[in-house]
Amino acid sequence: MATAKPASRASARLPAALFSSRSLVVTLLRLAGLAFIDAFAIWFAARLVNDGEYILALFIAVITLGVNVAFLFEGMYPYRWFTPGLSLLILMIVYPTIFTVYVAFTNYKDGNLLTRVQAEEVLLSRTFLPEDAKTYSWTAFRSLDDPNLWGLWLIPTDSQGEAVFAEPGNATPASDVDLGDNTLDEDGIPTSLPGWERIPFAKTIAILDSVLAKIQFGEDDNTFMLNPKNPTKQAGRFEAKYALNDDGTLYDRELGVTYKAMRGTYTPVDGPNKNAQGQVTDAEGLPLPVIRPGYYVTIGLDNFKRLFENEKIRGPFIRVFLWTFAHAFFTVFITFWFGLFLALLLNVKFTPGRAVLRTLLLVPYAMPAFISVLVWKGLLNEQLGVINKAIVDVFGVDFGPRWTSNAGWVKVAILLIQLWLGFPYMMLITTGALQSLPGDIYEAARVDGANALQQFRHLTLPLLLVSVGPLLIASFAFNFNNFTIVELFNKGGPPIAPDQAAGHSDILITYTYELAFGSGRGADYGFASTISLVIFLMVALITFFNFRFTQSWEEISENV
Amino acid sequence: MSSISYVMQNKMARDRWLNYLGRLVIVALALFFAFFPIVWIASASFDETGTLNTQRLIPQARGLGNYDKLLSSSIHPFGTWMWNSIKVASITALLTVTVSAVSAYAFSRFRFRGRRNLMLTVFIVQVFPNSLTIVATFLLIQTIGQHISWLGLNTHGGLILVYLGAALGINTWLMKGFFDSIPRDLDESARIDGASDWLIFWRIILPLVQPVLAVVGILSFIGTYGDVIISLTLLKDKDMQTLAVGLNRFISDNFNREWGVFSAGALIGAIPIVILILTFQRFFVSGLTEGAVKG
Repeated sequence: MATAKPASRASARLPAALFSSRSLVVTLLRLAGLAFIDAFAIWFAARLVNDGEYILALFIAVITLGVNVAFLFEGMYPYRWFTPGLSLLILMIVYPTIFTVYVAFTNYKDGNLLTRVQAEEVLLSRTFLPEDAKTYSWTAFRSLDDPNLWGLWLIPTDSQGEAVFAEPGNATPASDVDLGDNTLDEDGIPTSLPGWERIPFAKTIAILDSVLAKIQFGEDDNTFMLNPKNPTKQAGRFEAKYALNDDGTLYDRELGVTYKAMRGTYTPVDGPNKNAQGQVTDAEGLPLPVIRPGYYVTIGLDNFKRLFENEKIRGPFIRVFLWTFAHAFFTVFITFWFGLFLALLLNVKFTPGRAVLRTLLLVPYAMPAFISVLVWKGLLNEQLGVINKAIVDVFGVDFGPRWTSNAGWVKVAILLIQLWLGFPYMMLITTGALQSLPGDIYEAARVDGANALQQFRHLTLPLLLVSVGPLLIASFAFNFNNFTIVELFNKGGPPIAPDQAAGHSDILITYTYELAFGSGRGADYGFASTISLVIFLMVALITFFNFRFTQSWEEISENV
Repeated sequence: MSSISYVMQNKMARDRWLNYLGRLVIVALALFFAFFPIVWIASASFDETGTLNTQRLIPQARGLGNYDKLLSSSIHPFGTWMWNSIKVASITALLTVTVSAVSAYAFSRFRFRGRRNLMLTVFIVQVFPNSLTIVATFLLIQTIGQHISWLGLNTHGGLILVYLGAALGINTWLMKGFFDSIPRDLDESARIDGASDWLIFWRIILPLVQPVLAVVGILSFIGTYGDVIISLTLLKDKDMQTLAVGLNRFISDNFNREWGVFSAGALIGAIPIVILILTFQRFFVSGLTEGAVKG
């Protein structure tokens, strides 16, 4: 059953036959489809390489290669049927997993969000206006096709050299500009240009700062911008601010400062001004900042060290870690017992209407969880929710439990919601299991004089746990990562400490989310991925435990 | 003799009824627990005062004002969210069924090198939910979007792409088990008549496995509809958001003031799924329990 037999389909065919069995049309269609996919993949991978996204480019290449192999070699015939599913699996599951491992060892976070290639591209396109820059008087032209496209007719203020027509990405000497049937006026400016409309100066004032001053006209090494010191009258010829040296350092041509990339951030190391501590400073003696954006690089085990050695992180992390387990355990525990209790009550033969009662009790489980949690969030609102108002009325106290702001009550609230959401499922599965228990062993037990409680403890429960045990562990694993409940109820809050990402009701997955996407603290993808790896490890352990101590793996293997 | 047994029977019957009533009281309490939140928001949705603070169980001013507001608000476009959710979940379900069925057919009918390992790999991979890699997934979709804009962040294309990563997973196992139960003789006789694999799959197998296709489609639809973490991470524009993200944003924005409107939205959003699950309860349970693993 499980041994690798030679592919029956392939062995029935001639070997290595590209054109053997199908009609020529089908083969040609297949090749055309492959060619299309390959062309697209090559285009995409080339762009990724260009941006420095090497790992993703590699995955795209591998997937494409796999598709080609499956469709070109007759021996790989069965794999053709898997190409859509496997490609998606590799791209959307395997790649993110590998990339998570990689990111966990990098400083991928705010300030270092780009690849090296991208960061250098950004920095090298920055410009500055040299002291002795050539200046021009400018006249604005607007494209007739695209109202957002502007050009400048530039005339040197020192009357040395030629006028230039510059638009973003392109600068043309005046003598090469096609004037059409327009002529130059007495200032040497064309009255109009083919495809362009000359805009009188008065009409440009309103958009001077918001639009024109922000546009880089011309090419990289021949850039013109409005002169910040005198934008209404002058434009200047800007030069690239940074130059990349052969040794990888970055030279600031404006300040004469050399920057070296340290952990992906260009940091000043040498310059004309230094203070007593040896820091590179500007002319006024203030230390120069590093250059943003930086790029992400591997930083070894630093993220893991932070997790285990930094006390401000380790303490809250351990609390989150323990609550993740406690939350999943108690959720399974209370839902199981309440569900089993109801299942036993409704399992007695003489119960008119039990089918209806069972279906009604399923309703909480049938509600989408994200809606239930939000509803409960309203019911448990501290001041205005119906539950606290009822508590205040009935017990005459000033205030009900602080469901969202107290470290203990928030956990009670989450477990309460979990109980509501989860007991029907447990009732469902235990009902099924109870009904499949053999009846004759109870006869025997009764003959031996066992009472109802003893029968339950020594017969029902052990037998029940055998059949629903794997499901309980699966439920544990699911709630271990139950993002929906924890995030929607209180975003993991209240915070453990004012500036902490971790909150009292946070579980590992919501903590990860907060680190990566939480507002106000800045994204830290590297550290968030480190926490993800911890979750991976835990889920792997739980799964291993499930397979090791129940028979489910054997069952799975048999069913292959 | 006969009168004694009559009395005993009578007593037993009475005990049975007492026992039943006792159990019924406890079940009634459970029903109260289960239905209290639902009844409470149903009441809130018809309460014209509309705030969390002023709500009574029997609303004093009843009306459909909350439903009107819900469907006409441009700040919180409920109709758009609902449509987005249904659109994304339907497309995901359809593609998941397609991808899964094609793979399950191959697993069920072909014997080839690596088959066992591939099946076990698929099983192991789906043990790790794709929410674990949410950071990398976000970065992946961001990168893809820089080159292919309709698959990027804040697009439904990108969102569906992420959901489809799980298309080859537990569904495939479920389907493969069902495919195995279709006798191979059917394929063989068709093959003798000269039918290709594709024809056998399309014309013979697919019509016979419609129940499992429906189950997988519904499971996928419900799972996608209820997803929070991926849609919350990828969708930023309110007009692109799904119901799960939109409702959360809505209630975070103005909790107390719009409680009635929120309740109306919660009810409308929940009812299709509740009906779906209760109707297909039977498949659901078997899909969740042994069916998923045993096939």
